[in-house]
Amino acid sequence: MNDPVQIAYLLRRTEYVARPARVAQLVALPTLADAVDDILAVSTPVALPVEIDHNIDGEGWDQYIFAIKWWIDRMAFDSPKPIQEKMTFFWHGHFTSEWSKVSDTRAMMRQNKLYRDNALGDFGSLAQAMAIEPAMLVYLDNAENTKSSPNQNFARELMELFLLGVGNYTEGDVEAAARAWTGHTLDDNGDYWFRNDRHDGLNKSFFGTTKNWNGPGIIDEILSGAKRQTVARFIIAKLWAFFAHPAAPTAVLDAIAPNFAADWDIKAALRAILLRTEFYATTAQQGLVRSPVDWVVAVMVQTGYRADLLSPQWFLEGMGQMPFNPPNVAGWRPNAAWINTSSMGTRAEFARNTTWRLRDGDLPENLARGDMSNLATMTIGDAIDTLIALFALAPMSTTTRTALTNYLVAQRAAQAWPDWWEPTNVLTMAMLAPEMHLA
Amino acid sequence: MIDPDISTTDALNLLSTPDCDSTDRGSLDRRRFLQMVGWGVGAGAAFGAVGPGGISELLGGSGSAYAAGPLGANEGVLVLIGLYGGNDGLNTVVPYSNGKYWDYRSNIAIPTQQLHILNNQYGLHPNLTYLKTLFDQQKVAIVQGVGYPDPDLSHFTSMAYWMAGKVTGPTTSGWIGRWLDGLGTRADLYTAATIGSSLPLHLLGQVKRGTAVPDDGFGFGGESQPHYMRMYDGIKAFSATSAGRGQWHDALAVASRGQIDLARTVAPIFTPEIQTSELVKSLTVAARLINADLGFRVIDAGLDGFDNHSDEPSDHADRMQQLNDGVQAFFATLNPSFAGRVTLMTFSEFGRTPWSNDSSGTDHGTAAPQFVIGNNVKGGFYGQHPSLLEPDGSEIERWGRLEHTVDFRSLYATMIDGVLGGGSSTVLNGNFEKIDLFRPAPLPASPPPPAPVVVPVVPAPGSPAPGAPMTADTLASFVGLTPARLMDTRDAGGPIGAAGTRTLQVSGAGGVPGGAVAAVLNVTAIDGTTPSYLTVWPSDLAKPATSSLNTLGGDVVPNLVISKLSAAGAVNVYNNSGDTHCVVDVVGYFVIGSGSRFNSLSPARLLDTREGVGAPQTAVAQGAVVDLQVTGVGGVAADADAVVMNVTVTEPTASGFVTVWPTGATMPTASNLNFVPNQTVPNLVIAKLGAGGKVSLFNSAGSTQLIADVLGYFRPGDGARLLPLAPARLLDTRTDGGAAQPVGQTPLTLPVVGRGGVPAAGVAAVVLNVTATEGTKPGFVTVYPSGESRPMASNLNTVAGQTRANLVIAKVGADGAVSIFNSAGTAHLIADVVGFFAT
Repeated sequence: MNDPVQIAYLLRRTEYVARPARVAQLVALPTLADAVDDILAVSTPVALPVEIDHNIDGEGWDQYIFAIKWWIDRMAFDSPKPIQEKMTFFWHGHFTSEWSKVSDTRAMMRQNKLYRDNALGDFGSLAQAMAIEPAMLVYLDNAENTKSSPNQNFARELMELFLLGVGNYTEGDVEAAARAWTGHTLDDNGDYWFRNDRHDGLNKSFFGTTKNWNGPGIIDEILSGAKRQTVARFIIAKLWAFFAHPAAPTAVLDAIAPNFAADWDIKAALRAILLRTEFYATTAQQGLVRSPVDWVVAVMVQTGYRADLLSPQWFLEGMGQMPFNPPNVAGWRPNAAWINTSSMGTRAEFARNTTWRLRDGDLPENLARGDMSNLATMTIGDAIDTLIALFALAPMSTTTRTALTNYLVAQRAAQAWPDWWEPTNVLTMAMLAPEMHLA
Repeated sequence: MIDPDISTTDALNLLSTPDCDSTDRGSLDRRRFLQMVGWGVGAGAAFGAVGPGGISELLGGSGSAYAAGPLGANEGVLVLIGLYGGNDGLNTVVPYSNGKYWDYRSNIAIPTQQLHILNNQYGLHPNLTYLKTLFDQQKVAIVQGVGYPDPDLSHFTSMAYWMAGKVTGPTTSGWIGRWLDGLGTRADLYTAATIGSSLPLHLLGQVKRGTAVPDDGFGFGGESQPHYMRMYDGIKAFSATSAGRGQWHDALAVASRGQIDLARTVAPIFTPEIQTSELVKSLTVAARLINADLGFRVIDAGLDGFDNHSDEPSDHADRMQQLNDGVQAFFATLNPSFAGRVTLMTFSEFGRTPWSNDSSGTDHGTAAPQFVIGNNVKGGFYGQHPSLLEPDGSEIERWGRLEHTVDFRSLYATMIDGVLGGGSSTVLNGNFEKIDLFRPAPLPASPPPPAPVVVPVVPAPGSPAPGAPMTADTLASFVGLTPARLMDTRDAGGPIGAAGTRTLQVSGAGGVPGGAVAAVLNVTAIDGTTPSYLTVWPSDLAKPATSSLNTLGGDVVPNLVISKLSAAGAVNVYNNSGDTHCVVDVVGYFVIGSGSRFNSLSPARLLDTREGVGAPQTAVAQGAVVDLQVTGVGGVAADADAVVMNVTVTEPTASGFVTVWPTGATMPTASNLNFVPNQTVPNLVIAKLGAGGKVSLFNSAGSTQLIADVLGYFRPGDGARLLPLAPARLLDTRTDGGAAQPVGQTPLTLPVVGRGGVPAAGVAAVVLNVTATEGTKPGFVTVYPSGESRPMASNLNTVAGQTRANLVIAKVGADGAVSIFNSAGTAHLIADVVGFFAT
């Protein structure tokens, strides 16, 4: 038997929301390790929706919007194991590409499939496949990297952002890696094509070894040579930041990175992270803000409304996180990136938009749960408890509860039931409580 | 977290920042760095450290911290413009007289004649037209060679240094943020703002922080009914006391309160709605924020897309245009009473390599020029341009980079002490030489410039039936474009075969928006295998029995075509016989809604290089450009924004082409007319006017005389608008009336109203494609209003035995007809109507 509070936190971090049925399922398992294994038991490959291969509007905007909605719905409802979408998003934010530069939704979705199917697989295979995925070849200009004029964009980011971090290579290594990746380009159909005639087949000096390096060999060298521990710590720290909080304790890195460097097994590394005691410490439990996508998915799961109904695609950009379109090659930043007057305003707009739905008792989605208008007929205490249950806000802080209570007292004094505004406003307020914004 | 942007060493440095008194505090600083380095465009707010005042200060314990107030009498305002991705300084302020510029950049160098020449060494990018205007008014300081020692080539590290205002070590706070920290109790919510959805590092202090204002305003928080106010109070009460759940919980609560307070305060500035986007929009918001006088001292706006590793000539030109238009929009919006104390400053994390790469791009570089703009600025050049040679005089190597000459912290110190009231040595932790670029007293405010032309996208109207009533809903106004190539079958698709049709999507391409109802196209037939004709018509209609241009085969024949667009915004191009290549350039479009209107003129000669009219009396040499003054000449109004003229080439010595485009814009890949030696060729040209009301004409080969007769112009406001029609043949003397009589020197009267979709009344001018064929002598054809005397002008030159076509916009006579005159011999004449103008 597992601790329900601990399982609820674990599910909130790995499956966006602690769905009650999942809590019950995992609490019944003998050990925490069993629960973690259940969460991580994903099946691949996952097929892309057939619509992606249909030309909705010439691979343009409509298809992009379709892709966003499809993915968000997968996170909230359609994936049997939401960790798969969490990790797909992790790789999307790490091995980034931007739709606005790639300009091809199908290519972005092919990359999305690559990241999903390998989300918990072998890191080395993922890194090699990432490098020659068409979206990446376009995004970081390697498709135009030729021996007559090497383009450093991909080679530099490969080391700076994808594998090693600044300070772990020299400018000469960047130049050599850029030459090694020459000729890895696209054919007329937009598929990967190695063109030997554009490849620099001369010797280059990379990490101290002079030979005729080719692109994939550069990745092999980084992952198997003297720098492999650096890579492992770099990736484990980033995974920790994504699931726990942004400052990975040294002890965590010391314990997990060497194993990761030995087998590059992503699932094993994540399993180790989720079983660390530090993952359940207060620092971690209070240390992560829900990203806009995570917050939107939580609202969707907890209201039961799909993307078609809530249209998150029109709000996510204002919150600062448009899927398939990170702000730059470094992807999204956690926590403080999401906390400012502007992005909080867009979260409030989305909450307001969702409220109109919740208030509509005629919606079929609301029949099972009941029209939220009846909040106004409850006692103030019961109304707040109903909100806590609806949006998983437990344990609610005294500060938040006092604020909601004082609002209801003031509103009921001014406009007694039947008042249309009370349930409307208090539902919005619940979605905007700090308890809802925290991961 | 070890962030991808920083090394382990840096991370450790961050953890051991001296003023961190706990691990938690250290990790907070590091998080702030991680967020903040991500910068402003789309990422990056930091939320803060708990300052000396503890949680009550973080939570804004004093009510005054959330009140806006007017600017003090002597307080300056700094507007920061971040050019993210690394702006290419060498193609922004071009050292055109330096031979190495041309050596290093053969595939991206900007031709000298396209630059805005500033002096005998430097010229501004062709799209910085408004900045040139301000430079000429001595309001623009160009600070050369701005950078820092031991430059980092990573976007993120270098941007972190620039934002932090330091060049080594951890970057945990920003230079504007530390200036905010030094202001004491001032209301920081209304002191520094970024326009966007996140807060960049430079607005983050150790204790205080700037605010983020979305460019559309806040969608939540601005209502005033009592029930809304109660909800707002409730949300603000989430931050009444610390919840005891850690810093992020409290930070979220405080941000919600700040959002509501700010939304309520700034709501009025978002009316009227701003229709533009990107920097034009954010700098419009910036100017309105200043006009509202809420106390803002620093406003930050960003533009990304400067990481031009490939396709730089087009991509960078687009960014330059956005920068130019943004600055123009700012001054068009700014209340002139603030103009004396507002200073704009650009920055970018680095410049780019002096060498271009084979992708027509450049890679991460180092030093670059920055602009400082304002009425309080002494215009001119400051600092020193970095050498384009190595110290030993040799060429810079392929991956070599420029040495900076001015430390960016000198620029910051100049701004802090010159605009923001001082304190630079504290903010920058050192004394940096200041640049003497401010005036003792600002220049007087000049009238604000016109706002940049903005074309609103309007819904595509249904296709009006031929002869549809003329209403505001069917008449379309004109918007000129810098010509853009939409189709070139030599590059894609191959030649059009006999009786073949190609569909060309026009709207959505070349600057034509979705709502356009007609397009102005220059269509060229190239290397046909046999005599043929092309027909252009809206792609959702059956092919009409009309023609748009004629080719003999083996030649290059252009003609201007005004075509109605299909509901989806496309045209069809049909080739009658043999195979021919076809090139289509778009030069403008018509749209229902705002745009310019047509004013016809009696033909007047603006340019004749044989006579020294409009340009020196000499043939135009190969590669030369003639800048032709159009506004204020020949009856063209001063506010005209496009011109209709017949351009004629005569006495050419080689085969070539002429391109006409707005002066100041980059010369497009497009052509207006083509010629072979000793041929005289006219073509109707509709061209957007560029800087100073001019158009530029380029001759590609040999030398040639150029003649231009103005026939009309477009201007905002008064004039006639177009109703495009499905093409219809009004005249064909080969078949009409069974007479098959060719036309001699007696003018032919062609009734046009009430025919082919042209209504019976209210028509100012008709748009005809006139074709002469089977001519017996060389001569010309003139089209003019019936009942009026024939002007000394020509629309079309005839050649014995050849078929020639040209587009004609002809004023309609009082009897609803036009007259057509053939000057020599006999010729058959054909006229197809494609639309009409009505007032």
